[in-house]
Amino acid sequence: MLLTSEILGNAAMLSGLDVRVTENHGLSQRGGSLVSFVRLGREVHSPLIDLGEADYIISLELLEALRSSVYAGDGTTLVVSTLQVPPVTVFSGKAKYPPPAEIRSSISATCKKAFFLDAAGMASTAGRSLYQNAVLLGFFAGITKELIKPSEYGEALKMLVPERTLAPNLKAFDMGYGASPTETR
Amino acid sequence: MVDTSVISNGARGQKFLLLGNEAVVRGGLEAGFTVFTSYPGTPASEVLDVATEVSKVVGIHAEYSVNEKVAIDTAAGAAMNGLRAITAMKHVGLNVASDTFMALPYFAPKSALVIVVADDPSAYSSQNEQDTRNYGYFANLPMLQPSDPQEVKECVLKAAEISESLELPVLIRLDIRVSHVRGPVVLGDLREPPSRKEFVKEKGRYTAIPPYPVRAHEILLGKLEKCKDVSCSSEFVKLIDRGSENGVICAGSASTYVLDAELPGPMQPDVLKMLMVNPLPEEAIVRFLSAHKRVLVVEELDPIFETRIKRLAYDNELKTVILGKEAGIPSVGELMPVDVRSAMATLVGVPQAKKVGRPIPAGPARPPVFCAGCPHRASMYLIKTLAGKNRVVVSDIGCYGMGALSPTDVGDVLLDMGFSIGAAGGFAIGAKLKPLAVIGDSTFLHAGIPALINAVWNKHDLAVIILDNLITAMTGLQPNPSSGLDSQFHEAERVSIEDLVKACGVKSLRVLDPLQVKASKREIREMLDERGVSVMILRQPCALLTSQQLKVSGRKATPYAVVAENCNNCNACLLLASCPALIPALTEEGGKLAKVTIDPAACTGCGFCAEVCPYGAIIQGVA
Repeated sequence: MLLTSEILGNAAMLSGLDVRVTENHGLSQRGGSLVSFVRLGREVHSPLIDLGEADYIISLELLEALRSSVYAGDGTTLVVSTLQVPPVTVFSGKAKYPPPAEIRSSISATCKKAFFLDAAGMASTAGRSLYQNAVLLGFFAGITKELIKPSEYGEALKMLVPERTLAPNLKAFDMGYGASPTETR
Repeated sequence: MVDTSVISNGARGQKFLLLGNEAVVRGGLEAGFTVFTSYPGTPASEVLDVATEVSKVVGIHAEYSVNEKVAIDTAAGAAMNGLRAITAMKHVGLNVASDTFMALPYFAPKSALVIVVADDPSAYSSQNEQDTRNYGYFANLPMLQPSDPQEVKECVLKAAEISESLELPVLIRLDIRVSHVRGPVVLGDLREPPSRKEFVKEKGRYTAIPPYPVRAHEILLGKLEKCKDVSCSSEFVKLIDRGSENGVICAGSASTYVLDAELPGPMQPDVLKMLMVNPLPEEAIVRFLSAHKRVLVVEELDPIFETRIKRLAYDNELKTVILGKEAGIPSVGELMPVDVRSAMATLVGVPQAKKVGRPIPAGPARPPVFCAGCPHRASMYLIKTLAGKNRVVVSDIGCYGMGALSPTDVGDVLLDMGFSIGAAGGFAIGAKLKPLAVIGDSTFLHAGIPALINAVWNKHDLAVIILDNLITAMTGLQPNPSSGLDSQFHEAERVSIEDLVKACGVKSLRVLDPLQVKASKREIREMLDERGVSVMILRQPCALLTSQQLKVSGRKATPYAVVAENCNNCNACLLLASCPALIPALTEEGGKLAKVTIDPAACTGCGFCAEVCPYGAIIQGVA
């Protein structure tokens, strides 16, 4: 997650944009919800995004996409992995994981556009489901190519991922770039 | 993290996306600092994480010290002895270091000493959201407050100059939105450390005993007075003049929201952005106040600038309207851009409806959990099962502190580093049940030892469980004296916690493996029935450390698996272990979740789930 936003930030910088990246971690890095913020443009000072003000939200998990939709507004596009990772509150019997169809329609109601991808499944064919971040980034790169040069992601990946995982990461990225996911609204 | 070779070797003019904390180290190398010390703490940890990496290839000394007090003492000693030194810590770490921090300005080193402190507004990973700026004024130290990683690097260079020209330590105050922000940083030249000025013995110059402190205090205030010119200079004050009758005064991360705020074009106020905040650039502020009808002070947490600026206006008989917290800038929690934008709208008189966010969507919460294979999972289970409902459990700072959250619920009291043992001593006075203190290895070594000595000496009746996972885990796996590794992960003398406990005078000591659940249960029961101070060390390495070591050696853990025909679907493993490697089925069978499976890639083979499975349905090595 932190790596995803760092790769995105570097690709933006290499495209000649000003950029700031930050995250809310601490306790959350131990399996809790985690949110990273990236702001980019000609001149940017802060990375923080107010509630309802995100242009894009990339979510690595379906329920987390719903949680992060507090940052979505009428102009927001979501790129969502359909991966489901039940939180401890679910498997300890305190709460239920909402039906995926319900989550998808709740998400779609909060934003301009939402794309749902089986990113983990696609990443598995590239090597490991772990590379789903690269699939999602690839798809995001495809719908924002006017903003950030897609080739710069390759450079950023080269800089930031271990050499042995570069090839599968690039493959996963390419799969995402050409993907045609379920689209709503 | 960026490849640290960027920090150690990156050439002048190259641009990288660096974390504020990484920029501290790069700035240090560009200014010829050779000593870096710290006790890890979010959001400051990466400073030393990077410095220790860099120290493997560049001739600097980087150490995780045993606590923040020792970290500042070590840095101070090095700077007294002619080396430029940086010490870094989180805001509450400065409380631990404060004894030195408050006296050192009177008897300061001659070589540069820079104290980097990172605040945590909103207390994302801390016990409070204290504002370190108060400490800058309290100690009378020059204080810089950069707003982004590039400024952080520049500030370290400037701090080195100020520190040596005034012979005073310099405080650089960061916060999470500077420390943990990545932004483009253009590198400067790396420089060799300045030629070393060996320590020269001077009567009274470094000895804080009467009659020296009072004279030293006077000298200190004189130095700070001299610094006023520096803080007003153009390198420390940025003025944006748009010809408005309204102005904003700000510094640090708060200024980033001011600069990003877009109000209707002609309404944009002028901005005075400060980089040095002690002493405040008083002359520049008075000029700014005189030139504007209304001025808004934007600052996170305490109204420190606001109070001081209002006093300046009073002293100079200025009629400028000065707005601050009452304009809607919160004193609690971290600032958000919307807070600043709406206060600026109030300043310029544009009515702006504050946007109300959508309601937080319904859905199950995702609190943090212990990692797969974490030995604290077993320890928490043992404590929860055996402490009983009425016994007070005082926990401490570390990963196991998360045990106080549901569903674990272990820890009735938790305050600050090392509080557990001292407080349990207090709880023990007149108590019916022996209180239990729970503390990790790093926290015990940091602040637990004096409290344990006190408990023995004053005959407290309490039990202590030391969770020794051989590493400082919460802040990202930093070695500590119990690791048998130095700050660079090279082999080092392992400081034996059992020897320390015995040396404190404790007669009842047990050392166990929490994953040996049955044996540990028996021993904890016995311990809780004893009188006096009883200590148990539950030792098992952090699962992240173990998996790192396995990776290096090319070996793999042998995972467990659920034998479906033996599984009675009771979900005891899920409820008692709550391990991320246990995968609950999302479908229901007869009102219960379907059978659990184990993710072989995530399972570390710790076997705790097998211990708690009443049907023996979880077996190692069958997958």
